[in-house]
Amino acid sequence: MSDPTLLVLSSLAEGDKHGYAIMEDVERFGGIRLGPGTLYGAITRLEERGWIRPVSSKDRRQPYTLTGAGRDYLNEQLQQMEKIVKTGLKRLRHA
Amino acid sequence: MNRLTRFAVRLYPKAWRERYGVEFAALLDELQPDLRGSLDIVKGALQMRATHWNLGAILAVSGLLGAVVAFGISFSIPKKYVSSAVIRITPGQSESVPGAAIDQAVGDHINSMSQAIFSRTVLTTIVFRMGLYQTERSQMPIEDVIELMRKNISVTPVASVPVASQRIPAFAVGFTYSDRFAAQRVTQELVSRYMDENIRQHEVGVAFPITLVMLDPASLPQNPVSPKRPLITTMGLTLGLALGAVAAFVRHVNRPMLPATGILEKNPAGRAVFRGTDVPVLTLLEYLEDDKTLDQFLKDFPEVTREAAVSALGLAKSFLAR
Repeated sequence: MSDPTLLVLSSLAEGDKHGYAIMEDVERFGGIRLGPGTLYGAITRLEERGWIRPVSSKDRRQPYTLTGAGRDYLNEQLQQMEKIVKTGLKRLRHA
Repeated sequence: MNRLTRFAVRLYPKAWRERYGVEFAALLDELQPDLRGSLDIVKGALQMRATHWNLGAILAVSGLLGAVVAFGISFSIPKKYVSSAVIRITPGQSESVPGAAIDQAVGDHINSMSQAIFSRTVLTTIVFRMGLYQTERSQMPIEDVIELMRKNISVTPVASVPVASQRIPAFAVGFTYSDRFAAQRVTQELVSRYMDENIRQHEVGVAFPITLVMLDPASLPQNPVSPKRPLITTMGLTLGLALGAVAAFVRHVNRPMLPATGILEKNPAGRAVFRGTDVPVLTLLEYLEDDKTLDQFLKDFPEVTREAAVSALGLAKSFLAR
Protein backbone atom coordinates (compact mmCIF):
# COMPACT_ATOMS: atom_id res chain seq x y z
CA MET A 1 0.00 0.00 0.00
CA SER A 2 2.62 2.49 -0.99
CA ASP A 3 1.11 3.45 -4.36
CA PRO A 4 0.81 7.24 -4.00
CA THR A 5 -2.31 7.38 -6.19
CA LEU A 6 -4.18 5.02 -3.86
CA LEU A 7 -2.97 6.98 -0.83
CA VAL A 8 -4.26 10.23 -2.33
CA LEU A 9 -7.59 8.64 -3.29
CA SER A 10 -7.97 7.17 0.22
CA SER A 11 -7.29 10.57 1.71
CA LEU A 12 -9.86 12.27 -0.51
CA ALA A 13 -12.42 9.57 0.32
CA GLU A 14 -12.81 11.36 3.65
CA GLY A 15 -13.50 14.72 2.05
CA ASP A 16 -12.04 17.46 -0.19
CA LYS A 17 -8.46 18.42 0.62
CA HIS A 18 -5.63 20.51 -0.81
CA GLY A 19 -2.09 19.18 -1.32
CA TYR A 20 -0.66 19.98 2.10
CA ALA A 21 -3.71 18.54 3.88
CA ILE A 22 -3.42 15.35 1.79
CA MET A 23 0.24 14.98 2.80
CA GLU A 24 -0.56 15.45 6.47
CA ASP A 25 -3.51 13.05 6.30
CA VAL A 26 -1.52 10.35 4.48
CA GLU A 27 1.25 10.61 7.05
CA ARG A 28 -1.29 10.30 9.84
CA PHE A 29 -3.20 7.27 8.57
CA GLY A 30 -0.51 5.56 6.49
CA GLY A 31 2.71 6.58 8.20
CA ILE A 32 4.09 7.55 4.79
CA ARG A 33 5.54 10.98 4.10
CA LEU A 34 4.78 11.80 0.46
CA GLY A 35 7.29 14.15 -1.15
CA PRO A 36 5.81 17.17 -2.98
CA GLY A 37 6.95 15.81 -6.39
CA THR A 38 5.45 12.40 -5.68
CA LEU A 39 2.18 13.95 -4.45
CA TYR A 40 1.72 16.16 -7.50
CA GLY A 41 2.75 13.33 -9.84
CA ALA A 42 -0.14 11.33 -8.35
CA ILE A 43 -2.54 14.30 -8.50
CA THR A 44 -1.69 14.90 -12.18
CA ARG A 45 -2.25 11.23 -13.10
CA LEU A 46 -5.49 11.03 -11.10
CA GLU A 47 -6.89 14.16 -12.69
CA GLU A 48 -5.93 12.96 -16.19
CA ARG A 49 -7.82 9.73 -15.57
CA GLY A 50 -10.86 11.59 -14.30
CA TRP A 51 -10.65 10.08 -10.81
CA ILE A 52 -10.26 13.40 -8.99
CA ARG A 53 -11.08 16.97 -9.98
CA PRO A 54 -10.28 20.40 -8.58
CA VAL A 55 -13.01 22.28 -6.71
CA SER A 56 -13.29 26.04 -6.36
CA SER A 57 -10.98 27.65 -3.84
CA LYS A 58 -10.64 31.04 -2.22
CA ASP A 59 -6.86 31.05 -1.96
CA ARG A 60 -3.86 29.74 -3.93
CA ARG A 61 -4.21 26.29 -2.37
CA GLN A 62 -6.23 24.03 -4.64
CA PRO A 63 -8.53 21.48 -3.03
CA TYR A 64 -9.46 18.29 -4.89
CA THR A 65 -12.47 16.04 -4.69
CA LEU A 66 -12.99 12.38 -5.53
CA THR A 67 -15.18 11.77 -8.63
CA GLY A 68 -17.66 8.89 -8.85
CA ALA A 69 -15.24 7.06 -11.14
CA GLY A 70 -12.43 7.63 -8.66
CA ARG A 71 -14.58 6.27 -5.85
CA ASP A 72 -15.34 3.15 -7.96
CA TYR A 73 -11.69 2.65 -8.78
CA LEU A 74 -10.54 3.05 -5.17
CA ASN A 75 -13.24 0.69 -3.98
CA GLU A 76 -12.23 -1.94 -6.51
CA GLN A 77 -8.52 -1.65 -5.67
CA LEU A 78 -9.08 -1.76 -1.90
CA GLN A 79 -11.36 -4.79 -2.15
CA GLN A 80 -8.73 -6.59 -4.17
CA MET A 81 -6.13 -5.67 -1.58
CA GLU A 82 -8.38 -6.78 1.24
CA LYS A 83 -8.68 -10.18 -0.40
CA ILE A 84 -4.90 -10.46 -0.65
CA VAL A 85 -4.40 -9.29 2.95
CA LYS A 86 -7.01 -11.71 4.30
CA THR A 87 -5.60 -14.65 2.36
CA GLY A 88 -2.06 -13.82 3.39
CA LEU A 89 -2.94 -13.53 7.08
CA LYS A 90 -4.99 -16.71 7.02
CA ARG A 91 -2.12 -18.64 5.44
CA LEU A 92 0.33 -17.21 7.95
CA ARG A 93 -1.84 -18.36 10.81
CA HIS A 94 -2.04 -21.89 9.39
CA ALA A 95 1.62 -22.11 8.51
CA MET B 1 11.27 28.70 -1.23
CA ASN B 2 15.01 27.97 -1.30
CA ARG B 3 17.14 28.09 -4.45
CA LEU B 4 17.27 24.35 -5.01
CA THR B 5 13.48 24.09 -4.74
CA ARG B 6 13.01 26.98 -7.18
CA PHE B 7 15.40 25.33 -9.61
CA ALA B 8 13.63 21.96 -9.22
CA VAL B 9 10.22 23.50 -9.92
CA ARG B 10 11.55 25.04 -13.13
CA LEU B 11 12.36 21.52 -14.37
CA TYR B 12 8.66 20.75 -14.79
CA PRO B 13 7.29 21.09 -18.34
CA LYS B 14 5.89 24.54 -19.09
CA ALA B 15 2.38 23.22 -19.74
CA TRP B 16 2.40 21.49 -16.37
CA ARG B 17 3.58 24.63 -14.58
CA GLU B 18 0.82 26.63 -16.24
CA ARG B 19 -1.78 24.22 -14.90
CA TYR B 20 -0.37 23.36 -11.46
CA GLY B 21 2.29 26.04 -10.86
CA VAL B 22 0.32 28.32 -8.51
CA GLU B 23 -1.07 25.60 -6.26
CA PHE B 24 2.28 23.76 -6.26
CA ALA B 25 4.05 26.95 -5.14
CA ALA B 26 1.41 27.38 -2.41
CA LEU B 27 2.11 23.85 -1.21
CA LEU B 28 5.87 24.43 -1.19
CA ASP B 29 5.47 27.72 0.70
CA GLU B 30 3.55 25.85 3.36
CA LEU B 31 5.84 22.84 3.35
CA GLN B 32 9.28 24.50 3.11
CA PRO B 33 10.83 21.29 1.67
CA ASP B 34 14.22 20.11 2.92
CA LEU B 35 16.89 18.57 0.67
CA ARG B 36 14.99 15.30 0.41
CA GLY B 37 11.83 17.16 -0.54
CA SER B 38 13.69 19.15 -3.20
CA LEU B 39 15.13 15.96 -4.67
CA ASP B 40 11.61 14.53 -4.74
CA ILE B 41 10.55 17.56 -6.79
CA VAL B 42 13.44 16.98 -9.21
CA LYS B 43 12.37 13.34 -9.57
CA GLY B 44 8.75 14.34 -10.07
CA ALA B 45 9.72 16.92 -12.69
CA LEU B 46 11.82 14.43 -14.66
CA GLN B 47 9.04 11.84 -14.55
CA MET B 48 6.56 14.46 -15.71
CA ARG B 49 8.87 15.40 -18.56
CA ALA B 50 9.32 11.77 -19.56
CA THR B 51 5.59 11.02 -19.56
CA HIS B 52 4.62 14.20 -21.39
CA TRP B 53 7.22 14.14 -24.14
CA ASN B 54 5.96 14.11 -27.67
CA LEU B 55 7.27 11.67 -30.26
CA GLY B 56 9.87 14.12 -31.59
CA ALA B 57 11.39 14.70 -28.15
CA ILE B 58 11.46 10.97 -27.35
CA LEU B 59 13.19 10.19 -30.65
CA ALA B 60 15.66 13.07 -30.28
CA VAL B 61 16.70 12.04 -26.78
CA SER B 62 16.78 8.27 -27.42
CA GLY B 63 18.71 8.72 -30.68
CA LEU B 64 21.23 11.07 -29.07
CA LEU B 65 21.63 8.77 -26.07
CA GLY B 66 22.19 5.76 -28.34
CA ALA B 67 24.80 7.64 -30.35
CA VAL B 68 26.64 8.90 -27.26
CA VAL B 69 26.67 5.46 -25.60
CA ALA B 70 27.88 3.78 -28.80
CA PHE B 71 30.58 6.44 -29.23
CA GLY B 72 31.70 5.77 -25.65
CA ILE B 73 31.70 2.01 -26.17
CA SER B 74 33.80 2.41 -29.31
CA PHE B 75 36.65 3.62 -27.09
CA SER B 76 36.70 0.32 -25.23
CA ILE B 77 37.28 -1.58 -28.49
CA PRO B 78 41.02 -2.05 -29.06
CA LYS B 79 42.41 -0.20 -32.07
CA LYS B 80 43.68 -2.14 -35.04
CA TYR B 81 46.13 -0.90 -37.65
CA VAL B 82 46.94 -2.44 -41.01
CA SER B 83 50.36 -2.07 -42.60
CA SER B 84 50.81 -3.35 -46.13
CA ALA B 85 53.53 -3.67 -48.74
CA VAL B 86 53.32 -4.44 -52.45
CA ILE B 87 55.74 -6.83 -54.17
CA ARG B 88 55.98 -6.97 -57.96
CA ILE B 89 56.45 -10.30 -59.67
CA THR B 90 58.41 -10.66 -62.87
CA PRO B 91 58.26 -14.17 -64.30
CA GLY B 92 61.39 -15.46 -65.97
CA GLN B 93 61.73 -16.02 -69.77
CA SER B 94 59.69 -18.96 -70.99
CA GLU B 95 58.37 -18.19 -74.49
CA SER B 96 57.32 -21.72 -75.31
CA VAL B 97 54.91 -21.92 -72.40
CA PRO B 98 51.37 -20.38 -72.64
CA GLY B 99 50.51 -17.47 -70.31
CA ALA B 100 47.88 -19.38 -68.34
CA ALA B 101 50.39 -22.06 -67.41
CA ILE B 102 52.81 -19.38 -66.21
CA ASP B 103 50.07 -17.83 -64.05
CA GLN B 104 49.41 -21.20 -62.53
CA ALA B 105 53.09 -21.82 -61.87
CA VAL B 106 53.61 -18.35 -60.37
CA GLY B 107 50.55 -18.81 -58.17
CA ASP B 108 51.86 -22.17 -56.96
CA HIS B 109 55.26 -20.65 -56.32
CA ILE B 110 53.84 -17.86 -54.15
CA ASN B 111 51.69 -20.37 -52.30
CA SER B 112 54.63 -22.58 -51.53
CA MET B 113 56.63 -19.56 -50.30
CA SER B 114 53.67 -18.49 -48.11
CA GLN B 115 53.45 -21.94 -46.60
CA ALA B 116 57.11 -21.85 -45.64
CA ILE B 117 56.83 -18.35 -44.17
CA PHE B 118 53.58 -19.00 -42.27
CA SER B 119 55.02 -22.12 -40.67
CA ARG B 120 54.81 -22.37 -36.94
CA THR B 121 58.58 -22.13 -36.56
CA VAL B 122 58.95 -18.90 -38.54
CA LEU B 123 55.92 -17.15 -36.99
CA THR B 124 56.92 -18.19 -33.46
CA THR B 125 60.36 -16.68 -34.06
CA ILE B 126 58.76 -13.41 -35.21
CA VAL B 127 56.33 -13.34 -32.28
CA PHE B 128 59.08 -13.78 -29.67
CA ARG B 129 61.66 -11.57 -31.33
CA MET B 130 59.24 -8.66 -31.72
CA GLY B 131 57.40 -9.26 -28.45
CA LEU B 132 54.00 -9.55 -30.13
CA TYR B 133 50.69 -10.68 -28.58
CA GLN B 134 51.92 -10.40 -24.99
CA THR B 135 48.40 -10.46 -23.51
CA GLU B 136 47.27 -13.33 -25.73
CA ARG B 137 50.42 -15.33 -24.93
CA SER B 138 49.58 -15.16 -21.23
CA GLN B 139 46.05 -16.37 -21.90
CA MET B 140 46.32 -19.06 -24.59
CA PRO B 141 48.75 -21.68 -25.87
CA ILE B 142 51.30 -20.55 -28.46
CA GLU B 143 49.55 -22.67 -31.15
CA ASP B 144 46.44 -20.50 -30.77
CA VAL B 145 48.53 -17.31 -30.81
CA ILE B 146 50.17 -18.43 -34.08
CA GLU B 147 46.74 -19.25 -35.52
CA LEU B 148 45.58 -15.76 -34.53
CA MET B 149 48.63 -14.25 -36.20
CA ARG B 150 47.96 -16.20 -39.40
CA LYS B 151 44.45 -14.71 -39.46
CA ASN B 152 45.95 -11.24 -39.16
CA ILE B 153 48.26 -11.73 -42.15
CA SER B 154 46.85 -11.20 -45.62
CA VAL B 155 48.39 -12.02 -48.97
CA THR B 156 46.32 -10.74 -51.87
CA PRO B 157 47.00 -10.46 -55.59
CA VAL B 158 47.00 -6.88 -56.79
CA ALA B 159 45.20 -6.43 -60.06
CA SER B 160 46.80 -4.19 -62.63
CA VAL B 161 46.13 -3.41 -66.26
CA PRO B 162 44.23 -6.41 -67.59
CA VAL B 163 46.05 -8.17 -70.40
CA ALA B 164 44.99 -11.02 -72.64
CA SER B 165 46.97 -13.63 -70.76
CA GLN B 166 46.15 -12.53 -67.23
CA ARG B 167 49.14 -12.64 -64.94
CA ILE B 168 49.66 -11.88 -61.30
CA PRO B 169 51.75 -8.77 -61.68
CA ALA B 170 52.00 -8.04 -57.96
CA PHE B 171 50.77 -9.11 -54.58
CA ALA B 172 50.20 -7.27 -51.34
CA VAL B 173 51.31 -8.49 -47.94
CA GLY B 174 49.43 -7.00 -45.00
CA PHE B 175 49.46 -7.38 -41.24
CA THR B 176 46.81 -6.21 -38.77
CA TYR B 177 47.91 -5.37 -35.22
CA SER B 178 47.05 -3.19 -32.25
CA ASP B 179 50.30 -1.21 -32.48
CA ARG B 180 50.93 0.59 -35.74
CA PHE B 181 54.73 0.49 -35.49
CA ALA B 182 54.71 -3.24 -34.75
CA ALA B 183 52.33 -3.77 -37.68
CA GLN B 184 54.85 -2.05 -39.95
CA ARG B 185 57.83 -3.99 -38.56
CA VAL B 186 56.06 -7.33 -39.03
CA THR B 187 55.07 -6.46 -42.59
CA GLN B 188 58.70 -5.49 -43.36
CA GLU B 189 59.84 -8.77 -41.89
CA LEU B 190 57.33 -10.74 -43.96
CA VAL B 191 58.42 -8.96 -47.16
CA SER B 192 62.08 -9.75 -46.56
CA ARG B 193 61.13 -13.35 -45.75
CA TYR B 194 59.41 -13.57 -49.16
CA MET B 195 62.55 -12.20 -50.84
CA ASP B 196 64.80 -14.67 -48.98
CA GLU B 197 62.48 -17.59 -49.59
CA ASN B 198 62.35 -16.77 -53.31
CA ILE B 199 66.15 -16.84 -53.52
CA ARG B 200 66.25 -20.08 -51.56
CA GLN B 201 63.73 -21.72 -53.90
CA HIS B 202 65.72 -20.47 -56.89
CA GLU B 203 68.75 -22.26 -55.53
CA VAL B 204 66.74 -25.45 -55.04
CA GLY B 205 65.40 -25.05 -58.56
CA VAL B 206 61.86 -24.21 -59.65
CA ALA B 207 59.95 -24.69 -62.91
CA PHE B 208 59.40 -20.97 -63.56
CA PRO B 209 61.80 -18.73 -61.69
CA ILE B 210 60.41 -15.29 -60.76
CA THR B 211 61.97 -12.08 -59.61
CA LEU B 212 60.45 -10.19 -56.72
CA VAL B 213 60.79 -6.43 -56.47
CA MET B 214 59.40 -4.39 -53.63
CA LEU B 215 57.05 -1.83 -55.21
CA ASP B 216 55.69 -0.22 -52.02
CA PRO B 217 57.54 -0.72 -48.72
CA ALA B 218 55.60 -1.61 -45.58
CA SER B 219 53.39 1.37 -44.79
CA LEU B 220 53.17 3.03 -41.39
CA PRO B 221 49.39 3.23 -40.82
CA GLN B 222 48.17 6.62 -39.57
CA ASN B 223 44.56 5.75 -38.75
CA PRO B 224 43.19 2.54 -37.24
CA VAL B 225 40.93 0.36 -39.43
CA SER B 226 38.99 -0.59 -36.33
CA PRO B 227 36.99 0.49 -34.39
CA LYS B 228 35.02 2.31 -37.08
CA ARG B 229 33.70 5.09 -34.84
CA PRO B 230 31.34 6.76 -37.35
CA LEU B 231 29.81 3.37 -38.18
CA ILE B 232 29.44 2.33 -34.52
CA THR B 233 28.00 5.75 -33.62
CA THR B 234 25.52 5.57 -36.50
CA MET B 235 24.48 2.09 -35.37
CA GLY B 236 23.97 3.42 -31.82
CA LEU B 237 21.89 6.30 -33.20
CA THR B 238 19.74 3.90 -35.23
CA LEU B 239 19.27 1.53 -32.29
CA GLY B 240 18.42 4.48 -30.00
CA LEU B 241 15.83 5.77 -32.50
CA ALA B 242 14.31 2.28 -32.84
CA LEU B 243 14.07 1.83 -29.05
CA GLY B 244 12.62 5.35 -28.73
CA ALA B 245 9.98 4.54 -31.34
CA VAL B 246 9.09 1.32 -29.49
CA ALA B 247 8.89 3.22 -26.17
CA ALA B 248 6.67 5.90 -27.74
CA PHE B 249 4.42 3.21 -29.22
CA VAL B 250 4.13 1.35 -25.89
CA ARG B 251 3.28 4.60 -24.14
CA HIS B 252 0.70 5.44 -26.80
CA VAL B 253 -0.95 2.03 -26.39
CA ASN B 254 -0.98 2.37 -22.59
CA ARG B 255 -2.62 5.80 -22.58
CA PRO B 256 -5.66 5.96 -20.35
CA MET B 257 -8.12 6.04 -23.27
CA LEU B 258 -11.02 4.39 -21.52
CA PRO B 259 -10.04 3.54 -17.98
CA ALA B 260 -11.35 0.07 -17.13
CA THR B 261 -12.95 1.28 -13.96
CA GLY B 262 -13.42 4.86 -15.04
CA ILE B 263 -16.48 6.82 -15.99
CA LEU B 264 -16.62 5.52 -19.54
CA GLU B 265 -16.93 2.13 -21.18
CA LYS B 266 -17.35 0.82 -24.68
CA ASN B 267 -20.77 -0.40 -25.78
CA PRO B 268 -20.98 -3.49 -28.04
CA ALA B 269 -20.74 -1.23 -31.08
CA GLY B 270 -17.39 0.05 -29.80
CA ARG B 271 -18.63 3.56 -28.97
CA ALA B 272 -17.69 5.29 -25.73
CA VAL B 273 -20.70 5.50 -23.43
CA PHE B 274 -21.13 6.57 -19.83
CA ARG B 275 -20.48 3.54 -17.62
CA GLY B 276 -23.64 1.59 -16.87
CA THR B 277 -25.74 3.52 -19.42
CA ASP B 278 -26.36 3.51 -23.18
CA VAL B 279 -25.65 7.22 -23.46
CA PRO B 280 -22.76 7.95 -25.83
CA VAL B 281 -20.31 10.57 -24.61
CA LEU B 282 -20.58 12.12 -28.04
CA THR B 283 -24.18 13.08 -27.23
CA LEU B 284 -22.95 15.34 -24.43
CA LEU B 285 -20.56 17.08 -26.81
CA GLU B 286 -23.31 17.44 -29.40
CA TYR B 287 -25.57 19.03 -26.80
CA LEU B 288 -22.91 21.61 -25.98
CA GLU B 289 -22.31 22.17 -29.69
CA ASP B 290 -26.02 22.91 -30.15
CA ASP B 291 -25.84 25.63 -27.47
CA LYS B 292 -27.69 23.48 -24.97
CA THR B 293 -26.55 23.48 -21.37
CA LEU B 294 -25.08 20.74 -19.26
CA ASP B 295 -28.16 20.93 -17.05
CA GLN B 296 -30.39 20.23 -20.03
CA PHE B 297 -28.29 17.18 -20.93
CA LEU B 298 -28.52 15.87 -17.37
CA LYS B 299 -32.28 16.45 -17.37
CA ASP B 300 -32.68 14.53 -20.64
CA PHE B 301 -30.41 11.70 -19.49
CA PRO B 302 -31.01 11.32 -15.76
CA GLU B 303 -29.02 8.07 -15.75
CA VAL B 304 -25.84 10.12 -16.27
CA THR B 305 -24.58 11.78 -13.09
CA ARG B 306 -23.28 15.33 -13.14
CA GLU B 307 -19.94 14.06 -11.89
CA ALA B 308 -19.61 11.61 -14.78
CA ALA B 309 -20.47 14.31 -17.33
CA VAL B 310 -17.97 16.77 -15.86
CA SER B 311 -15.30 14.05 -15.65
CA ALA B 312 -15.89 13.16 -19.31
CA LEU B 313 -15.32 16.78 -20.29
CA GLY B 314 -12.20 16.83 -18.10
CA LEU B 315 -10.95 13.71 -19.83
CA ALA B 316 -11.56 15.25 -23.25
CA LYS B 317 -9.73 18.37 -22.09
CA SER B 318 -6.74 16.42 -20.83
CA PHE B 319 -6.46 14.54 -24.15
CA LEU B 320 -6.54 17.80 -26.07
CA ALA B 321 -3.92 19.26 -23.73
CA ARG B 322 -1.37 16.54 -24.58
